[in-house]
Amino acid sequence: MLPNLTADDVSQLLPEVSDIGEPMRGGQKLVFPCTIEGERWVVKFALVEVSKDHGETSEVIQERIDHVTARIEREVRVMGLCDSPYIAKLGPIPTRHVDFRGQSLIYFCEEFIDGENLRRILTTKSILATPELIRLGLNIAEAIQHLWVHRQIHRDIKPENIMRRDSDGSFVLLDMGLVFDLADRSLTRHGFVVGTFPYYSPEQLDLGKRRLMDFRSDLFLLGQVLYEAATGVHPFHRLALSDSEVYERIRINPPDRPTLYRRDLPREFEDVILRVLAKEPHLRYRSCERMTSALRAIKMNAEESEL
Amino acid sequence: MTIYAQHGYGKSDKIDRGLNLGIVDGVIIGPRNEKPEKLIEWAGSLRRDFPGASLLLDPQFHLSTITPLKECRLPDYDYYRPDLKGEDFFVPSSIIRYTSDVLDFQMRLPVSYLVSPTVLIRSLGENWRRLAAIQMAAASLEFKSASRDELPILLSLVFSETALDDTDNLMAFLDVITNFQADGFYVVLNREDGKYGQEIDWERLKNLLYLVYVLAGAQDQDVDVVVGYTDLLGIPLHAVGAKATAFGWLHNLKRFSSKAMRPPPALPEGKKAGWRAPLPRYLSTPLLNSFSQAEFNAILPVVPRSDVILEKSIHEDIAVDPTRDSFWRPGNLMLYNWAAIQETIKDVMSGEQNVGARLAKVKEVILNAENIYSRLRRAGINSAGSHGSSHLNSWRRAIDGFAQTLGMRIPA
Repeated sequence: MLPNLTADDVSQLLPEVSDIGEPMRGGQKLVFPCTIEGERWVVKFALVEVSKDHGETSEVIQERIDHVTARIEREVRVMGLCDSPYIAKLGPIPTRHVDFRGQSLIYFCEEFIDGENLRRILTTKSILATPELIRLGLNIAEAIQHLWVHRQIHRDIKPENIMRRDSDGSFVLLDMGLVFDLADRSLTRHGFVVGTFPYYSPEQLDLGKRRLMDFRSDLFLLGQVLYEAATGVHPFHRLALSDSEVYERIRINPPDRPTLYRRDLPREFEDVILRVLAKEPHLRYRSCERMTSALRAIKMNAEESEL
Repeated sequence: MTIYAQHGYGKSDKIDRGLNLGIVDGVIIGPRNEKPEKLIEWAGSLRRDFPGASLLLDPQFHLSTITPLKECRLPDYDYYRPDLKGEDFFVPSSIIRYTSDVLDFQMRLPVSYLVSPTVLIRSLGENWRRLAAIQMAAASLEFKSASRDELPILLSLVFSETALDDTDNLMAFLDVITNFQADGFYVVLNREDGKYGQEIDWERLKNLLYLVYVLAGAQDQDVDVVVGYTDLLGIPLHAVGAKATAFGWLHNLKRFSSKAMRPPPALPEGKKAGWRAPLPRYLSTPLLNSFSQAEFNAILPVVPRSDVILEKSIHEDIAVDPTRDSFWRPGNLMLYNWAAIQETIKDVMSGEQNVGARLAKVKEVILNAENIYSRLRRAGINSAGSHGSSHLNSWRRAIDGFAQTLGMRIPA
């Protein structure tokens, strides 16, 4: 559930903020573009609690508050750890709780990415050209690598969480809300499947293996994104399939070769996609660097063949 | 492609001759049958006499967790700990100490790789052994990163055959172990049957091929995997990505089995234990099996000589004449055996970077062996038991099963 807030409300809550734009939805958060000390940022608001009058016990309410708070704090902490051009940076306003018109809210501030969401590009424009696909793979693999240096897994890589900057066409990974910290067991106990359907790795769907997830789970998600960005088709989701059938396909069925849907896709790029979509993590790339090396080689070959 | 001599009891001058003739590329030194000072001296002389040879020490620390065990010289090594149990691995500082002791010893040797200590994994469901193996691998990488030495390190893994029955746990184990950024792996399969022979359950072999393929970097094939005690299994193992394989002259250097390392049963008072040297066996790569002189003499008259001996493999300095007794002297025979395997693996690997294409060649070798066995049967030679052909079907099924698991095409 999203907070009920307007730009005027934000102006009232945060006097240091100006030029507040129309809100956008970002996962479970309401996102307001704004200016702080002359620079563009976004402020993100999440709803911790609507009111205390839903017949829930105070323990349940407190648990929900604690959970949302912990996730936001984790998101902020992870952004604070990272310094990558492919991961949104933390902004100058510290994380705060605020009660506003009966809503308990939590907010924080992060980098404003002047660009377009990958989901929107794929929905309203078209699939990506090969050079842009390679850039998408390189940028997001580097973001995954950067997170893994801090032993973090994103777990929610999907077109909705990737922005393309207008300035240089690079891709940026957003929304660390589901980041999984290998050192922090407690945050994993809420919910069975974390992430937005249907972007999961096989190991995310396998309770028994969940503690063994690593960056290769994120590489699988990136593989799904690359597949869809290359072909316009999700590798596992098909109309009329039930959730459980899609889960089954993610866990067991190999995807169709992307060239079935897009014949001009370089075979080497198809191999990269299929490699990271391997069901077993140990069959994917052993490091993000290996994936980026493979993509750079494809890029170099493509550039040489154009000469 | 590297063929190592697997060192053990009774080395005489076999290894030096093999290195001299270029039939083996290096040595996996085993401490169990050498005193530490002798081992250090010998390793130094190998390095001096064969500067290009690849040397590594299998520390055999995994024998610490096997009881009962005929330890031989192992207790003379400071790093060796007899009779370790699960509780000995509960404290991380113990694991770090075992690991650093083993690696410190190797730093005194002119080796080409360091080899980490490990424990025998009898079952992947047996938590303490699995965790101890993982923790020793992690501690070894820590040791390596803390040391200024540039030597690459191989992470040791010693599996019992039965551990390979548990595919689900094997997959999970591979997820963990491939997350270590190791220079390579040293793999040993502990055979359940202490007797020598080529038979292996096809599903276990399928999983062994898969394990080696994954450790070697799967499609990348860029991680060094050395497999010890391989004998003829070295042929398919190279095809799926092993960089090196090793075997020696005695049965227990061709096929590792902890059962064969048990102390002899107690004898009545006054009786002395005897030891009979095993019959020398020639590794026939055309038949993918090994034969004693008597078996060989029965076969040779009924099929063309080239159906049994890989003549082109033998070095020009060594006469190939199995009708002469000198051919069957253990020292000579070992050279023939190494050379035959080396030649066959070279054929399988030549010009083929693709695992599927290499496996197609292995399947051709298997088919050829089956055809020769058919001819033998038609000629009235009924091969069975240790020199029979039943393992060929297991090998083929294992290769097909491996390819099927990976969705890999093996060209016809």
